[in-house]
Amino acid sequence: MSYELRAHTADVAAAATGETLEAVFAALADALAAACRESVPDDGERFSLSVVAESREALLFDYLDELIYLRDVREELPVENRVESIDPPDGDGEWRLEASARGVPLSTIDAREVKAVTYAEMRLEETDDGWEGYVVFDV
Amino acid sequence: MTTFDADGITLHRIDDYVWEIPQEGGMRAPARVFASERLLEEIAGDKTLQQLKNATHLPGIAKYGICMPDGHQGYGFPVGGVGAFDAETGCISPGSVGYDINCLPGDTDVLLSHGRRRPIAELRDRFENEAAIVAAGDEAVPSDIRLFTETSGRSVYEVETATGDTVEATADHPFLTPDGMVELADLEPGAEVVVHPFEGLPDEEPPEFTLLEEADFADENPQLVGALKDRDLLPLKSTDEALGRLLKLVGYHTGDGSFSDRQSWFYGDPADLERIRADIAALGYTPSRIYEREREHEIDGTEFERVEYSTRASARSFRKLLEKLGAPAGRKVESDFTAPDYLDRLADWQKALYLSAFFGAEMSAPDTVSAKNFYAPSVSHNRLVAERDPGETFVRDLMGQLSDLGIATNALEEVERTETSHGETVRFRFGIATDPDNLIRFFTTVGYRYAQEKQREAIAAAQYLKRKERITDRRARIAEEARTLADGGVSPGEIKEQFEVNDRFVERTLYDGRDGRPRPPVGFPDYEEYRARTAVGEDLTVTAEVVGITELGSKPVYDIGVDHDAHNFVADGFVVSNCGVRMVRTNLTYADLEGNEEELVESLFANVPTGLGGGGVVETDVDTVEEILARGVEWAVDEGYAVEGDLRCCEDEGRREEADPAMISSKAKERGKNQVGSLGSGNHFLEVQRVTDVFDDDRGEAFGLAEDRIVVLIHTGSRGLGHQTCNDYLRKIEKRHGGMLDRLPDKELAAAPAGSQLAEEYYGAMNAAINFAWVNRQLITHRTRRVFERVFDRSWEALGMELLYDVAHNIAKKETHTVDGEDGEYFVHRKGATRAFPAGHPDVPAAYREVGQPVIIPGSMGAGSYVLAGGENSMELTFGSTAHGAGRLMSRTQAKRDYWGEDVRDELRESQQVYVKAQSGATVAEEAPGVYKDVDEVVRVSDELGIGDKVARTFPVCNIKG
Repeated sequence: MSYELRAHTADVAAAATGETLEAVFAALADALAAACRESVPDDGERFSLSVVAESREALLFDYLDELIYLRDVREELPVENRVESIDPPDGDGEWRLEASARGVPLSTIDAREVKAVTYAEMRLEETDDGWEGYVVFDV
Repeated sequence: MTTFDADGITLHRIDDYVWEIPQEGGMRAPARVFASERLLEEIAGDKTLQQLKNATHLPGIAKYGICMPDGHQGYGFPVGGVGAFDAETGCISPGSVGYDINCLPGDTDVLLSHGRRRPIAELRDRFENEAAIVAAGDEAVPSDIRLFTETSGRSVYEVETATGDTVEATADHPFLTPDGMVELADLEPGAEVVVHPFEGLPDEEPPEFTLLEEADFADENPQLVGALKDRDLLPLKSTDEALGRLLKLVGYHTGDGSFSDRQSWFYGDPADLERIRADIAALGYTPSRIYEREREHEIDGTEFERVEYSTRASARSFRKLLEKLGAPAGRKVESDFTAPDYLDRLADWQKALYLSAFFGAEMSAPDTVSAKNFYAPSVSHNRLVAERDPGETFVRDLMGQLSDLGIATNALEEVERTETSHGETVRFRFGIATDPDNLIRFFTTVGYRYAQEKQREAIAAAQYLKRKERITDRRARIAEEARTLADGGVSPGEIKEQFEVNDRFVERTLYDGRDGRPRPPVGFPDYEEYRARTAVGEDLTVTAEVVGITELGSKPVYDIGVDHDAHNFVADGFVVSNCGVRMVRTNLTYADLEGNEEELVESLFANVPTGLGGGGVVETDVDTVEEILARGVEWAVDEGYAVEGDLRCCEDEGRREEADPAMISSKAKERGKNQVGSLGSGNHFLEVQRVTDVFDDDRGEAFGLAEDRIVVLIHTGSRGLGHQTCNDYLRKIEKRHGGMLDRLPDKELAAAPAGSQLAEEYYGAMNAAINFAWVNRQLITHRTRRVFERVFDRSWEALGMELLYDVAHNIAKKETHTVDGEDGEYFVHRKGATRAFPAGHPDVPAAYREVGQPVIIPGSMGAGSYVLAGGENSMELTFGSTAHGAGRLMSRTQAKRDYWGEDVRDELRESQQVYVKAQSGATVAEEAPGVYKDVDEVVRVSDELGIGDKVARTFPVCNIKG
């Protein structure tokens, strides 16, 4: 699982790969954190979150959106993201994600604000080696 | 240079600084870029032009999509984009009842052009090529379907009318009533709704075959063949769109037309001839005006005069085409014509086009034989005795076709023989069988085309018969139940009590041994009485009384939206954080400030919350956030963060009336409560600036700007609350209108159809977020005033720190604009573009009305900013808009590779005396002057175009950012 931040005129884009859907989601979440700050201290408690959405792409969007929301209301930067599970719809049409992250208190770091996740140019594709994802963040 | 090629996109130069991308493919309007060649080259360097093209795919876009001189790639719409969308609600008629876009279950039939109907769910894969029938008051017109959406599992209700018609819809589905649109939830039994009883026939693909090809015209001259080919009428296939019109014209002409030399004549009422003319024109021919002449007729030896109206097409190719399709040449009575043999191979709805147009000309109108019963509408057909056999074949063909459509006819009669000047003739006659269901089916699926008065009568008759049938069915059921009860030994007295029907009916049922169907009750109106109080509109709509509304449970539901009356949209992807910019003037000069820069920048940085997690001037609770959302700057006045003067110089006086805080999610409010009065980061900043140039003394004076004067510029938006709101609605639109999104080139262009519930909710939410953004900038103003008071040891009033203006540059607003010479309401979306209303516009604050609305264009750190005034050409060229800033040239990642934050900061201080303080060095590097377009060039173009006129230029002294 890996990610890199890419050039985008107004914003910051992140491209990631992972062997599993979970891995690529987590890599994109780490890219979101990296877009806010390159290195982070070791403190902060882990917290968990879960997201439900109607499609794989919507789940990715809502997951990253939720991380930004939690960042603002918890006043913590979510780093070291782990996606424990992604479950496809079980008759109800909804995808489910369980994840956790370590929340680094914003008061202890100077971080740049990523304003929002966007659907612009979003890609999520299965490859021979697993999954690839691409997301543009509004900064 | 007249064109500019930008990687596959060609722009045509229309005028100085005006470039157009012609409409093509899925674009619904052309696009225009307002830029110099130099700026255009920069704009063409990323995906801006493609995004601009994409944005014109949105339904309802007016005039053209616009890119400002500072345009750059964004998400969805480019930053620097302006689009206006008609704000009037278009209307459509899905199925039999109701209008507009809301939700109907999948099996609801939608009436399409050419009398076809198709369940709404099946329109999914073909809606872009379809036209739905819109009841537009004076006429039912086909209108292109522009939108299709699907939503799973919404609660659906069945509405039943007194005519026994039912329609299923969601609670928010609007129905047209005599009092305007009313949502289903607000309807009750007894209410009247407007219905369109003509149903048409199921839409089927006809088998594909060629009706006519070049070889069929081998005897004609090549010019005639060329004329048909030019109009795409040759070869003519069974699946061609033009065939529908031709079938009607051939059918009508066979009844009431004639040929003379190369001319094809049609006779009828003037209003009906107008419809015929429209079809002729749609085929690419020019119909004549409608002629009027007195004619003497002789029928059965009696002479009388009447006015005859006619129209004609004069093209020989048109005449030949009708003839080849079966319209008889010469005197019909002497002709051996039969029905066209290709009819058998066509789809039912196509057969009906031919038949109904012929009936429009030749069949008698619906009429009553007794108070409550109808004659059989009938066709009489005369031929010379010598042509008796083909005559009979023709009439039997018509009867056979009707039978294929499920409509029964009475037996063919050969009524009489008459001696005429041309010889002995025979008259055939047949009628539509008069059992009510058969008549209803005929009137509502075939009927009379082109003959509007006959069809209106048919609609009234159908509604009357449906009503009569419904009530008779009910009595038949009661009669049967009563007999069953009686057989089981229940006494007549008890039976009478069980049914809401008069006692005499029960007695007759039990004692008279009546067979067959009961009659309608005594009080049931005669047709004449019913007709007198039933108005059938020109668009073939009538009102019907609602008799029941039943909840049916949850089903997937569908919407369609049509193009008619310019459908309109509130697009979400355009409008993000309602960010904007305000300028506060002071009476300080640069000399007063020199020496204090360091203290000022440190004090501002310490007092104005910036960056991630920096909190806000006010950290509060959700209740307060709601008040801010509802009341805007008025809240700040009450709380002592603003004065009355701040309201006067804010766009909309600091409060959007249409704000609806309930439409903002609690998540967004949670994010907002600790960010009231905070700059954020990225390109947002607060700058103390000095005025370096005043280009226009009068306007400079009106704005209170003089050279060397100090001003403060604040650039920020509605922060996390705005971003959360944007994404909340982006997701809602995706869920509810996903079908439309799939057809847009970019998901970020998510748009809610205007008039839809979601659009209203979004507009309420966005306006609330604008209020929040104003308060945000106001609270920063408040803090800034306090800092200046401390640093300069005078009250802010003594320092003259009045608000010059506050204007949003990321906003969608309902405004009045003139398009094609007509005033209309539009949702004008400005994404990274600034409203720039000219002098005299009523929405410009009184203080500036004589000079035009102030426009504040923040520049980059090293290049300075501009104050403009709305230019006199802005309304005509750009929906009253101009640029919003310099526009990015370089990506943030590239900027960080090219620049080092501390170097940028030191360089600015040493060579330009600009004091920068930021939370993160990365932000400084990302916002370095070189990453932006040349703001001077952007402003020069705005000024030259006359959309925003140069008033003053400012240069930074202190800059703080996140």
